[in-house]
Amino acid sequence: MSLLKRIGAIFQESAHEVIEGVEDPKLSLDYSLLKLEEIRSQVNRSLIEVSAARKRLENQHAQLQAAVHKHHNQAQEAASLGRDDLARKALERRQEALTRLTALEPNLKNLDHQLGSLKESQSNLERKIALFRSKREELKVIYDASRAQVRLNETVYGISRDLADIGRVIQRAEERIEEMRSRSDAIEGLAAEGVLIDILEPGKDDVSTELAAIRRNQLIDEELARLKKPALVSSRQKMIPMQDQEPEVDSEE
Amino acid sequence: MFLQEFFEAAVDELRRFIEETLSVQGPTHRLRRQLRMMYGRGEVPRETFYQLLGKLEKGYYIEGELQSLHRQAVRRMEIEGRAGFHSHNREIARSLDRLAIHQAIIDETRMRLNLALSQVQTQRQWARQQADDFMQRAKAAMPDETSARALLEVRLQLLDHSHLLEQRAAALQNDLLRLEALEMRLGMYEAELMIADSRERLAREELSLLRLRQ
Repeated sequence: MSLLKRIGAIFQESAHEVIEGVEDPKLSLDYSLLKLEEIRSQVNRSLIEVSAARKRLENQHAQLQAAVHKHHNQAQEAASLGRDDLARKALERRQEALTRLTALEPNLKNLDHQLGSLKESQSNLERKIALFRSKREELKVIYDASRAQVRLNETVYGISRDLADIGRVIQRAEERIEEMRSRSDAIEGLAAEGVLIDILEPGKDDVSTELAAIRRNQLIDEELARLKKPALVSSRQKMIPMQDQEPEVDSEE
Repeated sequence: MFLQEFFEAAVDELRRFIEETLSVQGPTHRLRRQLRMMYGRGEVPRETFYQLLGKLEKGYYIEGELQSLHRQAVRRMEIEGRAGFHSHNREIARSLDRLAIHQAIIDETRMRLNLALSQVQTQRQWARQQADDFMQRAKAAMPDETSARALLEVRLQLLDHSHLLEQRAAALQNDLLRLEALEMRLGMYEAELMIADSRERLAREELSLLRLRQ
């Protein structure tokens, strides 16, 4: 790898690390989920408050109904006793309670409607959060996987490029080997022709090498022949006692 | 020959100086390279490698630890009676060092891919379970068709997520195979470099012997 390439690689790596440090979509996803969960908490709180308000109105409604009933009875009792003034007073109060009761009913209906829509929002949010959580986890693992894959591609690309460089190193070594072989062959050739003198074998040329080889072969043949003779003699000597033993073997048979 | 070696050593020193001066992390880059080289050569066990890599990422200076590990590795090899391959050819020696670094990088990349694959598979399983869960909820909400429809919509989206993750898992598995092929190529190049070095040394010895005899 050349010096310039190496410097480039250092810059690339540094830039890569800086970029990696800056962008982190996981954080923004976590933040979004946190926001959604906050909204859900708010909806839950609103639901509790509206439910409580409705309960209060319900109690008021019941109290007013009881008051209407009570004032009606009071008016009946007062009328039976001939106390029209008291009966009038009771009826006035009954009327007042009825008016408040009538005014309360739309409020109750309104709260029921609010409760319904809050419950719907709550279940919608639950679904959204479940989906978002799944999506967030999915994006997280895909982001990590993508980073690993980008890293892999960089690795494969960088190593492949460097392997090509190493391939050239091998090629250069092969060339050097070939060159040295050629030189060795040339020296051996020149020595064989007698142009160069081998200090281990002075006065050696191609004819003398061949003659020497013939002489060596002859010597080996002679040595072999000499080796064969004593071998034959010794084998005969070994055969004699064996012949002597033969009749004994026969007799046994 | 001497001049060439001197020149190469000077270039090496210059390269090291430039790397450390230009690098944002200072000596971190050099130490990471050294650690990877030692791991690629088999001087550092896997667990120690990742432990030291983590320390390096956190900004610790691990030069002393690396030197100690190197000494231990040399002593261990001496006791075991096996000598590491050493080339006198600087070009080949440097290439072998680079291959050792690449080996470590491949190992790191494989670890990252395996981790990502395991996360993807876990998430895929979770999305499937959630989809099943939403199916049950839709069944339970059945008299209310609107609610059931909304729940089924969520289920379908979860199944889409699961499918997407399945595709990503397949891509990651394919990447692991690519990495394996690259590692094989690395091993081949290492063997070729060692063979070329031995052959070159042999040819040089033969040639110098022949020259001596003349």
